[in-house]
Amino acid sequence: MSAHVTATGIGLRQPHYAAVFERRPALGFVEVHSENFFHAGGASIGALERARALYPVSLHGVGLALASVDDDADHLERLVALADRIEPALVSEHLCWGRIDGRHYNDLLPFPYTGEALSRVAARVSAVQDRLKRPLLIENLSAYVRFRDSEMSEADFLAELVCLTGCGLLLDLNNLYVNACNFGDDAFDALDRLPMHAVGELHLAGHAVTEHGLIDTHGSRVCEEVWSLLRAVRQRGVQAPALIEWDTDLPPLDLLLDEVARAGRIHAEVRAGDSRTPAHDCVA
Amino acid sequence: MTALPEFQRRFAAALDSAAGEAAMLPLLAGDEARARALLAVYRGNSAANVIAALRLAYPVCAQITGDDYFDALARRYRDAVPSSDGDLNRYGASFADFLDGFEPVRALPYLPDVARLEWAVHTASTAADAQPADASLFTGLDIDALAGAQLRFTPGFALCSSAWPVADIWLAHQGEGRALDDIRLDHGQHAQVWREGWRVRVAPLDAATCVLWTALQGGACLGEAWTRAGECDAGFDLGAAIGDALDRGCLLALHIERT
Repeated sequence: MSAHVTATGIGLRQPHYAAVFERRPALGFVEVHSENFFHAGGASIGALERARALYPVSLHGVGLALASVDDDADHLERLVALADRIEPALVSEHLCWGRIDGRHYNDLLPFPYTGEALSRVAARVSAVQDRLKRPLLIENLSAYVRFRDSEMSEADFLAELVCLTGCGLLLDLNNLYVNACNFGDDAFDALDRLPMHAVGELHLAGHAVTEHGLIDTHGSRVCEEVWSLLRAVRQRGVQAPALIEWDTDLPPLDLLLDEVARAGRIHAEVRAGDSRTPAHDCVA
Repeated sequence: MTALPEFQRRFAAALDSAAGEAAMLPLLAGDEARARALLAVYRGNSAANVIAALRLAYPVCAQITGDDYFDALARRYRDAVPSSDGDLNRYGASFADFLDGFEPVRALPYLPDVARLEWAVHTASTAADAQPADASLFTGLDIDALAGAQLRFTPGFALCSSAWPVADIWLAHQGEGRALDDIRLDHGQHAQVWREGWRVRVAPLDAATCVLWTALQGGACLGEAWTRAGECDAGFDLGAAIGDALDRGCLLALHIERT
């Protein structure tokens, strides 16, 4: 019961519920933030169950804080209960920390990419996968700061994590682009380093340009450079479903559907043209 | 190299306040002035996420104080009671208690109880769905069995008692009930919260009925709860109270101890 390959979906947000249920647009899947449905009952989980009857659902978590040094077993159990209830096609989380000494900062916080952190995250991802009884997709982060202690790039860290845990990747192309702009990286180099065979989902979103650089706001259309990255990923043979992710300043549903159509066109064009099969070996 | 727990503690201190940045800055790569500005972005995001969650849970309080004032209150609350949960929908349970002792809101003495009512509404909105009992719940029971029965309420059912007319205040902010300008602040009120399908409803409740439900919620049997309600109001009509509760869908089940 996986989302249809190369299908495109949208983040399902409350202001669009009525339009989605009434019009039932052709979508490959819908994605929601898992934490917003950790409820016994009520309108939110009711709407998600209704959506689940129409589309495959992707549960996208923002609260597990996989790189945090203290575990949150209760949070994981609530995710497990939701997954049992919704039977999602995909379950994903971010490569971040957020909780320390019992306090949660409720943000996706970066950390240095070290061997110590890799052991920690790998152990945690494995534990989560064991409990969920399914692979987790791990999303690359848009990070606004970097650390002197980092021993490897995020792409290399994720490649190692895939080898160690068998997890998949949720490749967020906007995050890749935001980091490339903010730190002068080459997003295409990151694509070369990431194990494309492990990509289980793609995220496409907009960002804001601020005095501090690009900020990943999910509040505007996907930019041309990110569409180019989508084309590049498709040319590398990635068939994974893509998501139009829009969380702030929500536009009318039709605008999201426009973006969905564009993602589909890019894939169709690439499929009609060349296609390469990726080959990646584990370094570990 | 800084070990991961120490790194996270230093980052956390920088998120708590600009004053906590000093130990974090040497861990950051690149230009220090820029890194400082970006730490401030993280500090702002973390606070904004929590404030947004409180606004969702306490929309009437935010309307009463105005958004800017509410955000300032939320910041002070967060300083006093930080989030400990990766699910922000569960954050803010003690906001009313915080407001109780918070000097700057003394001019809005009903605000803590409005917050108490809003948390009950927030909690009810995600309570388990349940099919309420109908009148057949009581059929075939003799008076002794009835007196010894305990009552279970539908998930989300809650009571709030206040020295202020909190139900009227809450309803006025939904555009229901009395208009705000017509609400007199010279009396208290009991409020009842319950789910009607997925919708959360609030209504004022008379004192004796509130005593009845409170006793039953505490595990008293119906006979004892009825006695207490009668002590509150000699004219208390048990049949009418139960009829109302059945109509509204507040009752779930009867429990009768077998002797």
